[in-house]
Amino acid sequence: MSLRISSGYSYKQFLSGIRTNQFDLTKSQAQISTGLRLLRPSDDPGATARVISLRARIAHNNTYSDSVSNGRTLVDYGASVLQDSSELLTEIRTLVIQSMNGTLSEDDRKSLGAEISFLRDQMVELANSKIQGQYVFGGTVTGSPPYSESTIGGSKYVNYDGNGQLQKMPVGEGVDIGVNVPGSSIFSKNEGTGTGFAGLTGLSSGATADMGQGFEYIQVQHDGTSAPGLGAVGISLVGGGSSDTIIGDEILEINSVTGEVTFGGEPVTIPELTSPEATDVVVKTASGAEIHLDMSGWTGADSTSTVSGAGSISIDGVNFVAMDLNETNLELKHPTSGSVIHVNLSAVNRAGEEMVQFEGAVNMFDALQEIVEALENKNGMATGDVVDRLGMGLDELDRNQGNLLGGIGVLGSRSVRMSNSLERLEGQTLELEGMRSQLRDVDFSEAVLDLTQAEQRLELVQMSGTRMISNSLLNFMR
Amino acid sequence: MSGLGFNTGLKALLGAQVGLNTVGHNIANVGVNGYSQQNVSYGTSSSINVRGLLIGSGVNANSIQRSFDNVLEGRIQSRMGLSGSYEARMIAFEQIESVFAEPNGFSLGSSMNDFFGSMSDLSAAPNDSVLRTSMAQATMDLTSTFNQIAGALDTFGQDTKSQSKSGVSKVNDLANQVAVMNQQIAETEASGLPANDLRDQRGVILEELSEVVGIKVTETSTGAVNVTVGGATLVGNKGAYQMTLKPNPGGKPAVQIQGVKGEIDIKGGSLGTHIELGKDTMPGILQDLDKLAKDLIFQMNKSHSTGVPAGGPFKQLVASNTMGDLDGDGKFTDELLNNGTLPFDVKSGDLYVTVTEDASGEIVKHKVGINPKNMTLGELAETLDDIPHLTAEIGSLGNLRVVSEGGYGFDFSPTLDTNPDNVGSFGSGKASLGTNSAAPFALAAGDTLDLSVDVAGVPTPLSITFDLSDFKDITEATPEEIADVINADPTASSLGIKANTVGDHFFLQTAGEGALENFTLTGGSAVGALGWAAQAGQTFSGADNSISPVISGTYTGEGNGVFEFVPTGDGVIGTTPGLGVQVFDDKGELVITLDVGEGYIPGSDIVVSNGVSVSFGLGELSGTNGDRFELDVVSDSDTSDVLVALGMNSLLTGSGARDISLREDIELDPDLISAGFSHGEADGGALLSMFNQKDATQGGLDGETFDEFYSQFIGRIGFEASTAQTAFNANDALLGSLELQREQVSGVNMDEELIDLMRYEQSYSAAIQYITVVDELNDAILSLV
Repeated sequence: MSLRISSGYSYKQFLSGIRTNQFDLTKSQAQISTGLRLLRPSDDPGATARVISLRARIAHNNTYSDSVSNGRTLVDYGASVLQDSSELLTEIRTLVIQSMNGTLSEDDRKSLGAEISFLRDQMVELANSKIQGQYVFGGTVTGSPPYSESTIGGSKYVNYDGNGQLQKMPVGEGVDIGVNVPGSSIFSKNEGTGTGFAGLTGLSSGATADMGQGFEYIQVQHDGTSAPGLGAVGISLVGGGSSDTIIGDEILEINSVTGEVTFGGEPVTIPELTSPEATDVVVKTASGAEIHLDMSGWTGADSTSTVSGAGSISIDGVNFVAMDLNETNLELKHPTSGSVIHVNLSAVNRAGEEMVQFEGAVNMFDALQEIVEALENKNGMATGDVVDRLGMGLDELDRNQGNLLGGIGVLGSRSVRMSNSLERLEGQTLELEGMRSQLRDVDFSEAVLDLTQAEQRLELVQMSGTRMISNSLLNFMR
Repeated sequence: MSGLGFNTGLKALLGAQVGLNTVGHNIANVGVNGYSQQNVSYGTSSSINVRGLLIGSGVNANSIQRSFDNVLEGRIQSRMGLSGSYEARMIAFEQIESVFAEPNGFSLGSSMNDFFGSMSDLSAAPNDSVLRTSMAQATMDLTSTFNQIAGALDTFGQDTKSQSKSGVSKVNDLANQVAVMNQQIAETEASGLPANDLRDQRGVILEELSEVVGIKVTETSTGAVNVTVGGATLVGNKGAYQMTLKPNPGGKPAVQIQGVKGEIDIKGGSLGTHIELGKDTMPGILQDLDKLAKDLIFQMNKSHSTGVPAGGPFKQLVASNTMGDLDGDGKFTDELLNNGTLPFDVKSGDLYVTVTEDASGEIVKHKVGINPKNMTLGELAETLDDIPHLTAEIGSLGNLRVVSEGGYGFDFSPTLDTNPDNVGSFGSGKASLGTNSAAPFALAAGDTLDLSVDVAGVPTPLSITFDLSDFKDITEATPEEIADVINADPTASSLGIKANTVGDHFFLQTAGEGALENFTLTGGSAVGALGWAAQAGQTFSGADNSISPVISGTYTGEGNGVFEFVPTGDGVIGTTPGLGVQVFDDKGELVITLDVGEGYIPGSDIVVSNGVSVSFGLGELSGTNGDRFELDVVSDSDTSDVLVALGMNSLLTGSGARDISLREDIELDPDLISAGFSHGEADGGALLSMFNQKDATQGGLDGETFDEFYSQFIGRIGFEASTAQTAFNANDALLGSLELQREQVSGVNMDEELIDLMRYEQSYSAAIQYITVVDELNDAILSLV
């Protein structure tokens, strides 16, 4: 016996056939219109979880790529500023070399000094470069200019107000990269090696170490001359020795046969005693210390005597201490800059302004200032002394140029590293997106096939259902 | 004979009529839910003995029966229960899924990615105000997404509650109907007639009931049914019992049935699912979401609380979380830090407080030991209050407030103390004598320390006596106890002698600095215990230069520790050949020996270890006289988590998904985002450390990262939703096949009925024809008469 089929059941079956296929049709349609296979987590919970973590990794990678490309802007900008600085420094170096030419006149040097001073200001501006409102060379202090000027005792100094820290950016999981080079490792790197003296006065380093940065001027002042043997031959010191620069002892020889006075250095011919020149004869030692003699009353006798100069010393030009030439380790402390210098006085032979440089600890701007001040030559130093100072400044400039190039190298290699990691990140992102697409996105051919099938099924159900329902015994009764 | 013939005809006529009626009834009820096709059962009438012949007397319509299968009906009922349960679950999860808007919409996951992205952007340029604002915005997006989802889930929770409520009233309504039907069926069937239609109606009601709640039905001899739910009688012999919905002591929804004590365990049906959703599922989802929010709050605040905002150190800081008054005495100060009222636990550990002088930028670090088991909130405030230039108090609501003196600021950053020789115990300008031996010192009661202090060229004697009462245990005297005795001595302070401590070492120093400052250790009985026997009789002078060590860099080592700097001998920095400074870690192991003798340029940096560098100024060191200093090296400046627990300098406030929020004042002033761990404006260290949490496995999230936890969480919800769908569909298919079986047995087939209709019509016509024939026969016979 065949199964009984109730009329209600046929209707139900028809209805559920239509419902199921309409649902399938709508779902395929939604997938096609959004392009997505996963519309809700329940569509494929496992794939959804993977899609979410892939999305997080993609976002993560994008964060890294953003930060790398931002960072590269900073790195490349920093490198270009350093490149400019390096070129400017080369230009200045040429000027300094030119100014060391002994045949230049005082005025030529002054005008070269003015030019270098102008370029120095440009250099300070470069070191205080900003990008996106942030100073580039201040370490992690980016809100205020890293280099500021101050004036101590008539000299302009530049101070570093930044710090030595790196601004770090994440470029990968647990990998940070610095996007800056702090000014303290390029424009003002402290690579101290000791103290250097320009050598005008015969001062030298004491036994104890020194401390400071940049350069200082030590004033050696002449306080008085004693020439006990001169009175006997009728010669006196002009103004009691007030214009002399002799420090320590030197033998003065007056030779009537040659008619010359010798003070350890070049002999000076004694002028006509009645002439005005005879009232102020200047004799110099080999180191340039001088005494002024009034020879108008010279008896004409030969004389060999020891002339001694006494002096005092000061680092700030204000507080002087009398010099004991037996002192080999005198401590001088600058009250404003805080520099402490230990000097050996035993070889001091003349008064004057001694330049002391903290070798390896003069920043680029101070070195330039040192050069400018040497070229200005306010104290009227001899050309040789000026050139000595220029040479010291030049050494520091070269050291700073080295640091600049080092900085360019560091930034350059970081830029390369960043571009490599950018490439790697983008490759990874592409791969991750591919994986996500496989999980999440619709395979259109498959979806369209599904859609067509659902459509056909629906039509079939509709057709067969209508036919089944219309078949009734009633059609044939009566 | 004729009587018999008429009778037989009449019976046939009546039988056909009953058949026609039943067919009509069937046709009329073809669309009625639960209707069972009825059939007439005919029987042959008993024969009559007419003169030795048994002659049939026609037909009898014995009864009208419905085509029905009891077993099938029971199976359908239980499937109905499952169907109701799965459907409710499917609908609920569809709603939950839609709240999370995964995987393609603006979701919690995508706002979490945006949050971390904006953080990374800001870390690269921490003083960019636009980036600060966008991070604040991204944070608010994230927190409001959390709030919205939690709110929506809460609403669903409410919905399940009201759905449960209406479910219960439906159960009561249907139970009453069953009871009424029971009575009618019993009455009807007492007369021996099957109550076909009533039974059909009751079947429908029972199906409806089983859709709402899982029931067990047993029929009694009277035809009435007993209905039980979870073992408790819902409909019994005496009628229906009321079901009620009340929250149980745990606050979860629970069902009770009149006459039964305690909670009824409901299974199946939509009500069962709604109760289960309200009881376990929704709270479970919210719990996971809360877990995520809470861990995020903790980890973000952990880094942020030790960071420094754009404007530099704080002038004032108020805790966002308040301490509860657990003992109810109206005071908060006596509450232990672990009294359980704070949203996060305070652990045993250290908090480093950094006080910065605005003008000079000089910082001093203070270490505060925290043990939540015996430290009260009041004690914490007092300890902080004792730090120079800081004031700390507890507000009326139980929140800690810390304020710095004018000209000073404070923070909790791990930044290094750049000038660590605070007391001047390392070649400073002060005349100084320290102990080379470490504490404890075995003093004896009455021990003395005799000094002669130079006051403007005049040696002035000073004698200090150590009494038993000054010490906890005088034979194990601590440097602090000894220093307290000396610093409390009026003569000592008038002579400018001060005692200081560095770690386990004790120092005697002049207050003033310079070469003229000096004192002589003339003797005393305490000299031996302090290890100063060799120094007795010697004079200690100050100096014009101070070494003033300067620290730079950022500590990159793990854990917190102390570096102790001790000279290898006596000499002048940068001058004395072979002069070195040994650095020991807090385990006493040598980290490095720094060469600071001849060749070292005073003021230049030397690398110590792990990112820390030091430079020494020009000055004299004396290892013999115990010169040393200590440097706190900190990688986590709050190992106690007290800042997070109290909500000091939080980024996020709240403790769960419902109340997570960006700290209100940060929303108004994004400069308050504490980007760095140091005072450098462009330091994004704190942000980087927060950002790195994105990839870190979280203890609070069962060792998973935020992303992993979240994607698995969504995966679970998706899985539940798809399981509910699959189960519903499978059950639906089963139910369909059961219903097919039922339709096979009980359904009405119109064609069948039409055939029956024709059959009965024909037999009716035939019966009439038969009666006509009998009548004609009778007439014929009568005409014969």
